[in-house]
Amino acid sequence: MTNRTVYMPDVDERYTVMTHRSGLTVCLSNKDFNTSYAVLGVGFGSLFENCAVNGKVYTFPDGTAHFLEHKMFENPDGEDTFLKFSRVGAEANAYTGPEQTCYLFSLPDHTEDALEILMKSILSPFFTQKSVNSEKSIVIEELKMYRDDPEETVRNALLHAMYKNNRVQKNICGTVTSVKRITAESLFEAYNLFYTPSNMVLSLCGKFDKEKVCTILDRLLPACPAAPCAKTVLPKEHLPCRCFKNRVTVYENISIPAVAVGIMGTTGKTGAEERLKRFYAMCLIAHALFSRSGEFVSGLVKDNLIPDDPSYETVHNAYRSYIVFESSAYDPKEFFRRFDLCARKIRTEGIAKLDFERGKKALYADFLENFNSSEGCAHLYLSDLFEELDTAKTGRCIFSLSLEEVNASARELLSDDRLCRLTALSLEQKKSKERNTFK
Amino acid sequence: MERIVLYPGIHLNHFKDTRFKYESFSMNFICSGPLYDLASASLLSAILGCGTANHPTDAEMAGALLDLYSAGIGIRGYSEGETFIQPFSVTSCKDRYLPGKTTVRTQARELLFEYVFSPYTEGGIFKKEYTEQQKRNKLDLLIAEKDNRQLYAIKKCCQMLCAGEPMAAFSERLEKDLKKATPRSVFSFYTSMLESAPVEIFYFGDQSAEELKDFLCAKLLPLFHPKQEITRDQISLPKNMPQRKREYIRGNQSVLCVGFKTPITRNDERYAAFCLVREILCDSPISLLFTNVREKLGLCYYCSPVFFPTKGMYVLSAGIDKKNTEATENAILLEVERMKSGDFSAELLESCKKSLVNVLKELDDNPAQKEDWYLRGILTGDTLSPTELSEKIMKTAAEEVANAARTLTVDSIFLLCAVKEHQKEVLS
Repeated sequence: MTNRTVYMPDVDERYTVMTHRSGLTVCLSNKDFNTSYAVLGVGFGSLFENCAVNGKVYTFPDGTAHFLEHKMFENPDGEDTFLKFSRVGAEANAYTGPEQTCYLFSLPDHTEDALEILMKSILSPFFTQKSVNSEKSIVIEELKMYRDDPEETVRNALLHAMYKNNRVQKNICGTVTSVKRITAESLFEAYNLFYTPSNMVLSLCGKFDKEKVCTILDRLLPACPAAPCAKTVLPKEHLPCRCFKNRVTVYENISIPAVAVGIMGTTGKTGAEERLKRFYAMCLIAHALFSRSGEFVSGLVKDNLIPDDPSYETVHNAYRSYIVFESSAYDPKEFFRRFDLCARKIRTEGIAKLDFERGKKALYADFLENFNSSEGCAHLYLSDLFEELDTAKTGRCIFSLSLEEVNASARELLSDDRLCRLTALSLEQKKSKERNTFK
Repeated sequence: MERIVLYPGIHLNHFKDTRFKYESFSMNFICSGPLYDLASASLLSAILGCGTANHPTDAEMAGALLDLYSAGIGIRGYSEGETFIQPFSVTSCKDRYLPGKTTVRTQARELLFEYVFSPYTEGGIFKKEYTEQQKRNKLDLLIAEKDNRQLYAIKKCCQMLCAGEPMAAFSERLEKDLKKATPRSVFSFYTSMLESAPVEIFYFGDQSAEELKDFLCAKLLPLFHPKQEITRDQISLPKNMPQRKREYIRGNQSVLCVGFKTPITRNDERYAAFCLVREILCDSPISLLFTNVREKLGLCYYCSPVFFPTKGMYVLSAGIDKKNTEATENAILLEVERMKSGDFSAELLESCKKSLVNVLKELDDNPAQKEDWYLRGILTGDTLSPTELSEKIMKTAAEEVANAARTLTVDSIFLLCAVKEHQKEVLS
């Protein structure tokens, strides 16, 4: 294995990144916690269900990556991987995102044994058409659960209004119809395509013996790398720079009206450092717009226009780029009137110096928080490695951003064609509107 | 852990821990017995969050906290059975990880004490505008409760489980009580709380116990009044026949809640065995309910448990298709019967022991969870440490687990039945 050890003096943390001869990227970090935490990320999420791999086009039913995740803990010996984990006292779980599927475990002792269980399970898939069929009812119940979750439905509606035909707006779990189309054969095809060591990252933090970990990986992984998995999400063109719709009203099963704002960023072929800088610039714009100390949200709270803590999120990677804000709102029209004023002010006058400095402090504190647990560290290193980012440069990147750079991004991002304003009203309001129209 | 009495009823629980980049400090006011007034307590939490004498608005306080590298203050109260906990907590970055010669600990604590001792008032009581605003927010949250189907169904099942007891009574009349609350009544609750509620303080960080004790003894003088005893929750007997209720809601998935009663709470000798009952039955992916009701029968995506350790109430909830209601209920009860007859493998028992012991070991890595553990122990009169409970769990025999399972009695079954809109109108 080739390896590189990095020490970050600011946060007093150390990690080692290695490339196994199979192509697997491995990140190891010894931490003085009782809990060890491992996460194996596979570069296959819902975005890649329609993609080109090494030039050949593949189309899988929506929800394939997520369905595969559900089936990966079945084994030829008929014993569930959860049971194997439980023998060593490990807690295991898995989840699927747009870019990756992650398998994880945590435990205080026997980390190497649990790692062996995880790797064996992921490297030897086993499922039959019968077991695939029986899983469908569980996945469909999961889909129904999300359909009853207002936060989920509002977020989906917003992304749909922003991106329309792009995969970014697809539901990770798929639809009832697409899930019914999934077969054991299509799952194996996806597995063989994406579950290759060179398309995976393993991140392990806590107490473990590095030599033993390497021995396990040498024993279980192929001696030479498979062909690299060069993936392109289809359709091939970059994400659009303007929202499909700038204003949209939807009717959901909710008690209090909700609002959501989407701000479309720009993806594209930039270097890792540039991408990190861009991400933090977007975070600072989001902070200036939506933090509780800012003019916009504090005004809404003061005038009782929103009932509780609103939430916002910034995403910027090679495949997706946006800021999303969501909240309940008593008067959506007034909410958007104020939002438009605030966005225009930031676009034309720039972010206030005080907000900018506070935003940087908040971002640095968020970064620091990752190191408070094995779990936080493992996920930080994993996502940075997938994004080819240098974790050690994060702190410097945050503090080196200038107000001018961030204001330049704000001028670009806060133009009207990049903004999507979604109002979600209750179904009762829809009925009332229909009655009024009929009259 | 070092537990120090600062004043009778005021304790400092000191955990020296250098592993984290943050340190955390919290003061928990325990409102039980005559101080258990859900409407006043929950409104107080919300009003306190509106501002302090020095920082009269939420925005000013949020800005001050951001200046301290996003120090986090938590003052949102919560119920634990028939006790309301009003926390005042602060987490802040350790100075040595911050650029320059920044010092945030002292300043962050000062902001916290502003919330405790100097909330924003007008004319000696809470500001009317803040009170009305928070009343409206609380009432709206009550309306929006149904938007989270699972939590709503569990709440309804709990109300059935402890009908007629303070926990259900306060919950059922919350809307009425909130409407009645005034700035004066909530302020009066606040002063009573400062005066007579016992306080449990938790600290995780580098500062020595001695230094912190001296600091707190000077700072907390206004709280040094005789404190109430903590009132323990009453455990009621189960009903002779399980009570059933059904409510219709527009949606795609129904939620079935099966509520049990048990006399076992955290300070019971059988608590270790009861932890194993929960682990074997429902708390893990190798549990009887996960492997049989979800994986084999495919009846639900989730089947999750909630245990109320002060009240001896245990609720299992499952998101299901309504046509599977009877099948799911039967399948759940069948697995509970298996537990009672000791029909689980020795291997499952051993795996569950390991899993529980590991969870208890992992508590040490999470100050918030560790605090929660000790605080719940204080509420129930349980003095076991996680290590001591682990030892008891490892020594528990299968028969003891079955005996603990036999204390479970089905008491209440609630179904939140998802229907299409036209059906809802017919059925309501």
